Amino acid sequence: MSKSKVKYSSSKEYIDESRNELVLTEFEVLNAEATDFPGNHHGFDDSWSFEKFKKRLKINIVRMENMEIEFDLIGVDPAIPNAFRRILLSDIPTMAFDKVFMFNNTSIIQDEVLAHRLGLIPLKADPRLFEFRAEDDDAGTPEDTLEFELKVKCSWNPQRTKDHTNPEHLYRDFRVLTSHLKWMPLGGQKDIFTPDAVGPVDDKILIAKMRPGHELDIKLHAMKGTGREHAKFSPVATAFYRLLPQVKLLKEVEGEAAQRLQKCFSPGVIDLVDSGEKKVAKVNDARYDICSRNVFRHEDLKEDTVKLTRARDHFIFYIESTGALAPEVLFTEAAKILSQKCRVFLDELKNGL
Amino acid sequence: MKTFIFKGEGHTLGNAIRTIILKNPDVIFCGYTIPHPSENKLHLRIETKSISAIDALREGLEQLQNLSDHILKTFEVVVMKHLSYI
Amino acid sequence: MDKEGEPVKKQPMVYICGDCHGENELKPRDPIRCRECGYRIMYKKRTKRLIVFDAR
Repeated sequence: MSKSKVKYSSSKEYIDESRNELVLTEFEVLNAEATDFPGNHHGFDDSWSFEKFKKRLKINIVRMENMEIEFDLIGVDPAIPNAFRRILLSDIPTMAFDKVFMFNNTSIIQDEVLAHRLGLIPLKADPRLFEFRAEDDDAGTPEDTLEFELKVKCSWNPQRTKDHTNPEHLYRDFRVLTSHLKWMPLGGQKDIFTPDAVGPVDDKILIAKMRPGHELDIKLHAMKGTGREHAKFSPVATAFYRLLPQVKLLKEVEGEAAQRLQKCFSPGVIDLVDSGEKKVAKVNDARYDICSRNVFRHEDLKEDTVKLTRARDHFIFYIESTGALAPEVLFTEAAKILSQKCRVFLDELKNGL
Repeated sequence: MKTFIFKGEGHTLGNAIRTIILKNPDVIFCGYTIPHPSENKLHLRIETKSISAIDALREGLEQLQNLSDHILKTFEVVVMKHLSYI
Repeated sequence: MDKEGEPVKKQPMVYICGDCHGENELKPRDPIRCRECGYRIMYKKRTKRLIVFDAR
């Protein structure tokens, strides 16, 4: 603690703070590691209790949209949101193109590059309705495979006029889009799914560009997989969390200094409020601060003026879906997978090691 | 005192289970390692006072499972509330 | 292992002109030259065999 400029009136004050907040100082972040384990702090009961956890846990949804969700997860250890994040990234399965049967490709994009591009197209088929394909199975069954066809031939526009140079006008089908993909139902799939429910997430994703005479004739097999196997199976564009930022003003800052202070933070964090003749800085909402620590660049503001901290157990969680599953469904799936991981090993313990 | 080897698991379960087992007052030490990054193996070491390491592991897994189930339940309730609020 | 004296297939192959993109049927020992434009660089057509790729 000798290096830091943070002062405490008692060791109790320091312990309380280190258990609840991360402190951002000019050159270091204090209290970064968790110390709330039994036996570490005298006078605190840090043993696990499910009842205590139930009381502490809070979840608030801040924003819920088609592809994105932002919510607060309060009252958990960092290992828990991190486990959810890692599960979201690599353990929740989705459907993606995995086998590409290239009958013809006379476009300028090479077979293997085209195959790779096709693999990355997000599909909105619900992975929970499919099985994983067995490793030795090359043909696939209606339970584990979605078959698509991509047959496009670029041609001249018969109505084209000589003076035009715009490809839109000159050619037909020169852009191969995901809307060209045609679903070929296998077995009884036609009765279970609608073409709308299994196709690509967006029908305007560009796959290739062609010129008259170029042709694609491809059959595709989409199957179930997880992000651990290949990133194309990951159900999220990204999933991440951050700790809730907190900004405390320790003394009144006014006039020009207040304006400088305001500029040190993200917009909306510091408000300038009228107080008599002068403008005084007030903390409005620190939630969306990026925690840049710019205040420490100003000699007159860096000491005993502001305290930047983050709440230890308040996680702001963001999930951006690729469209296969709704973001809120993804989180429930993640919780189910964590629970299932435990169950697998508990069963193993029960049946003897 | 025991080291458990989990096949096919990594930091996801490792860190979560380590944290929760450390909250057990009967546990002296708990730590995990992935001995080699290209081997899908997790070593979890538990040293205990009065209970057996296997019991500590079982308790930890049960607690983590309960925690996860409770987060799921809470989240589902919050989502339903959010949808009806809109 | 090639056996000597094995009959070479006399089937004509179709090639594509590098200049005018026209199709040319060429037999073995034919001059390599486009019938349309006289260009001397020819390309083989893409194989008609099915190729399976892993989309990874």
